[in-house]
Amino acid sequence: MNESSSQDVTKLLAEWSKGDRAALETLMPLVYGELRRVAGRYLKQEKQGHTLSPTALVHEAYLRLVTQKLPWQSRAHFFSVAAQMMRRILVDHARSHQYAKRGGGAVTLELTEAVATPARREIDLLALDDALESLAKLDGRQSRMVELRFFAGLSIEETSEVMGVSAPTVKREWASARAWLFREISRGSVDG
Amino acid sequence: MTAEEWVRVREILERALELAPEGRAGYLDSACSGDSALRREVDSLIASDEQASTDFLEPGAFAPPEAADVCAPAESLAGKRIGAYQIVEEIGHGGMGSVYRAVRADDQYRKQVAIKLVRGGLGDAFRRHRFKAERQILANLDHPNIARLLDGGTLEDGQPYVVMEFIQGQPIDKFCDSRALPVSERLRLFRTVCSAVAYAHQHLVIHRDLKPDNILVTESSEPKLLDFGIAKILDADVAAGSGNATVTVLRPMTPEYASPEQVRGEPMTTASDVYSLGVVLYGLLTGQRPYPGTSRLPHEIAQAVCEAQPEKPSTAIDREEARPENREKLRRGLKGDLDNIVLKALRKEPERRYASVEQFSEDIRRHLKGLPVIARADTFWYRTGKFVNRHKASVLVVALAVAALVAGLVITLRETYVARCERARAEQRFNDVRALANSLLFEVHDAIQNLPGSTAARKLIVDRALRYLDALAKEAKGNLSLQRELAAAYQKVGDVQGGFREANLGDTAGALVSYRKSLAILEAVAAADPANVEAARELIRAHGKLSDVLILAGDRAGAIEQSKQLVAIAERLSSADPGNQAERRNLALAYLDYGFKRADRDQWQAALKDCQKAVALLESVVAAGDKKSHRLLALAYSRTGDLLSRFAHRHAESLAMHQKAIDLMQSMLIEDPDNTDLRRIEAWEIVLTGDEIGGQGDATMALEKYRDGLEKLRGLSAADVNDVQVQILVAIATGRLGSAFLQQGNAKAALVELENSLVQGRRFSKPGSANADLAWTTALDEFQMGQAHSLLASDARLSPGIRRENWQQALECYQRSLPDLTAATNGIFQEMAQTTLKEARSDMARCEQELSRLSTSRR
Repeated sequence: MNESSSQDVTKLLAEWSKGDRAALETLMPLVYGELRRVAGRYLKQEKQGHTLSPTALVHEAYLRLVTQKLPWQSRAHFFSVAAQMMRRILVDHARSHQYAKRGGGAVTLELTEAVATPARREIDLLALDDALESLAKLDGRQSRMVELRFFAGLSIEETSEVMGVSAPTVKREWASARAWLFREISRGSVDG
Repeated sequence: MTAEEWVRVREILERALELAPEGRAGYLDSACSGDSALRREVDSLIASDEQASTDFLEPGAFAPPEAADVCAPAESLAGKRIGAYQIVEEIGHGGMGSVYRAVRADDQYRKQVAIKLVRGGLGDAFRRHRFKAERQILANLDHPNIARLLDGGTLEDGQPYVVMEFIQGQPIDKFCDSRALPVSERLRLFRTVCSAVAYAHQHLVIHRDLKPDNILVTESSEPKLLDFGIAKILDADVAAGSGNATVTVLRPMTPEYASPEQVRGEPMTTASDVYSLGVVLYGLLTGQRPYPGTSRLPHEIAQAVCEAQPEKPSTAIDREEARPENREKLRRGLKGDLDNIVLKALRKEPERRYASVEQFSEDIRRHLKGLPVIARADTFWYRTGKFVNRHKASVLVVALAVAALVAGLVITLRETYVARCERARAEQRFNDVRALANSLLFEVHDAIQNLPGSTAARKLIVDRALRYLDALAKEAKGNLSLQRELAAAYQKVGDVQGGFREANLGDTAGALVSYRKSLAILEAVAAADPANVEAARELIRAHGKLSDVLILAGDRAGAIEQSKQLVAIAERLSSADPGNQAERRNLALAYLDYGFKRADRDQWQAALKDCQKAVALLESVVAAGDKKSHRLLALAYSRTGDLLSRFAHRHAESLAMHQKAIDLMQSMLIEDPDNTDLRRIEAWEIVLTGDEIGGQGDATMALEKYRDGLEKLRGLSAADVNDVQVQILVAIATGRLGSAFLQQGNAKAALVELENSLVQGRRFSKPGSANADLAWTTALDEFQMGQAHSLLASDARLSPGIRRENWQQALECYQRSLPDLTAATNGIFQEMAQTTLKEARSDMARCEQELSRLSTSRR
């Protein structure tokens, strides 16, 4: 990331915060590109068994793109865009590797791995993506909330600011969305 | 469910989740009054909430500090009294504790003080004594630029506190920026700071945590240093050395200002303060940190501090955007002396920094006066990183640093949880620690898992996380999900000690102990909550891991017993929910495991039944439309074929099984031609048909199959050179090709392929490697190279010299194969290994006989 584009991002974010929609158009490819790059590096390692932390990815992209501290308003904008993109990048990746990920071992060697059900933190991104789609049909706001929390790592308070709803509401709706998603994802693995 | 229905369910669910678990039933009775479908739905979601682990979908624990601060609970000590002081308000909190503004209650002048409550108890008399002694030393520091330590003591519950002079001011960097001070002014201010630090050093006190937030500048431009030696007070606890998890062994620090030796956890000296002052000065001059491009993730900072060369201040200002108008002037001012001065303070090796803070300060004075300075640019020799390479922070160091950084949040659990009785805060702390422990286990650990040489660091991290969880679990015995986390932690420890599938410490005995602990916890959880399906699945995993390691430990009977239990649980889960395809799939996996473990001369028929059950289950699962199980079904076919072939020599039936696997893969590949995983299985199964065809006596056709499979595997390997698994398969298949040549009597071609296989295989077989197939292949390669040399040596047409040489080489090959063959007698190739070992020994005897015969005949 060179300095000039870092300034660009900062400037664009500021303009967008002020309501300039055109700034968003210019901003998206920049942010997307950087997220792809950062994610790509991690995804390469993921092959060797790394666990992905989308939060870390988004924050790393943020730090690379925006080298100076921005007012919260601009950061909030950034993260709300980044959350959606991060979801897309990770899900695309998971989809393209869905066989490779489950296998990984030589045929004769993989049994123990297969018996071991996935470790707790490894969320099946594809299942989550599907579940989020379904949730969006029930309640679009909750689906977006999860996107912000999980894919951009926003806290309850930050999510509340980005979405313009009170923190207690976020907390409540987050809890029910979580329960619903967990059930949906476990069901998914059960059925398939 | 429709959106309208969800609204209803959600409202009741959200209310219920806010209630304590015991109060929910009553609420639900009335809220769902009579609507049993609604009630079932809400109940199922509540159950799902309980099953989800605490960190399900939670953002990572390494969110930036701002995010964490937002959630920090407000302290409610305002108005309370500590000693002679009355708390007014909280003015800050951090890793070490919280700071309050307070007034002396009995003082008519209402003199203001700052009170720092230090987290962590003082335990025994020895520590209390140390704490008091340290306080006394600090109280003796009397310098106009050091905030005085006025008093200190412990609260009734043993929590230590110190009372300090209250300073009203701005951190030095903000102070300089807000007044837009020129460089020379900044340097003068900084020299005053140096004089205070130098004074403390003369009194044998090291600050240990110098950073702008600890250097306040008052309205009258007087810098005042805070928190002198406070870190040392905490160290007093450490020095007393107890393994008590409630007292951290790792001190919190501010990574951006910490010196390399501090990051490494090495002893700190006055040179460490010189380094931190260097970072402070760097910031004052450039507005930047010394290491560009470093994120705020603690382990990256730690690594940069230990390894990266700081950027010159004169070029770092390009990153500063605040003062572009006079950047060029600034650059000229910094270039040369100031670059050298700052970089000298920031050297990685303490002995190459300024010898003292006075010397540092003196060099700045000389610069201000236009005199030559003692700091010189680093020589080329150093710049090329010779030192850094020599002292490259090991993975362990970085890991230690990360652990130290998170430790700040972990310091007290017991005290907070039990003694302080502020329930909300204690819960917050409890959850913080839990999240951190899990983050250590599942993020930090996983992040370094594949780094070479990280095993020891992984052990440390996992141990540490385990201690935290263990302490938490003691506080919350009835908390089942916490118990499950603890079990997962023991499993990770076991993995690191001697896991079946990953790089490990080779401590099989230790791994057994850890896995057994994990199993015991999960058994207790399952007993307490028999309906919990998730816990039952974890129990299956625990049995599986234990079983695998028992194989490594040579206890096959034990391994089989564990696998048997795993099957029993899987059977129970599946029969409780017969239509559930995932449970059927898991049951099939369990049968495959059991069959795999029982594959020996005595039990192979039972093992065959296991595999056939797995085949039947998987065929039905696949027929039900589950595409994910195809490859597993292929595996089940393959295993069934393997048993038929190995123990009954029913090669035709076995061949049919492998052919089924191939057909299955090929039908999948029509839809998904780019799927390398399917291609790999296809190629490998073709290799296995070669085994069966060879077993039926057709060596030429077998050779063809091996060539075909190998060609496919090589294609895959070329397409992705990083795919280790496929390269391992290439090595294994090449060995098969060599064997086939040998069987045809083509010793020379056999030698070429066997050696190829051995060389490739050796690249991937690491010590302690759990890849039994590969280990077996390389053992066989050596053995068969011995056979090939023997074959050549037996050729009477060759000259005695060449024959002698081949006998000699055969002997050496056999000798080299012995340790590997012996090792294999413990594993899944037990029987073949024992037979082969016998053969090798008798062949060796023959070699020796022939050699001595040839040498006698020569004489």
